[in-house]
Amino acid sequence: MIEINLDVMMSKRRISSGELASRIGITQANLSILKTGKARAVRLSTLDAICRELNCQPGDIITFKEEQ
Amino acid sequence: MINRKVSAIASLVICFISAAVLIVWLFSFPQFFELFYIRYHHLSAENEAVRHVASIVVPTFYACAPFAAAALYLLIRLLFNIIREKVFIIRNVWYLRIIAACCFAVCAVTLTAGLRYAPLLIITFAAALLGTLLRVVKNVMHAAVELREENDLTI
Repeated sequence: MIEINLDVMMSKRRISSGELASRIGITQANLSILKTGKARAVRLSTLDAICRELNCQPGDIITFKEEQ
Repeated sequence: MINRKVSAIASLVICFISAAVLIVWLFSFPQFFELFYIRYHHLSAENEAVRHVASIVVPTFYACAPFAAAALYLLIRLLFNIIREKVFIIRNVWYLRIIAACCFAVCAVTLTAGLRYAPLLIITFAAALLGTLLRVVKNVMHAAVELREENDLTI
């Protein structure tokens, strides 16, 4: 199962949802969908923008965990 | 090319005209039948064959009228959704499913009547074809709804 650790990285970088959404060009609602793991897919362009703004690697935000 | 919204509005106008015709016929179909079948063909209303045809066609119309009314009502609601830019939603799929069911219901009614008056079988075939067509459109719409939901959840 894919886990999204966006909120962890956001708190490390001390950036709010509104500010991050504004910087990467998506709505706060869409960012919330992403954070809560409800998204079905993520565009590479969105992932690229998130990593650039949070100064991190994709693996810092997205992890894979075996379902038990 | 006609604007999409204008086209939907044109379809809506046709639906309202059809609904108006249906309402008028609900109150006057026997008179309409007399005028356009009996008088137009210079037949006698007392003729046994004419009374036989009237005894089949008029009740068949009234049996099919509720299904026609339901189909028109749902079609109007579907068109209003399209005009409001709510095209690929599950409710529209549901509307198409019910309209197709109404067509098959008319098919069943006219098939029963057609066993006594064969020309009604033309309506049976047309209704079955229309119902099948609408079911295919419903399937396509359902696939489109799923694609839209997938797209909406692609960030």
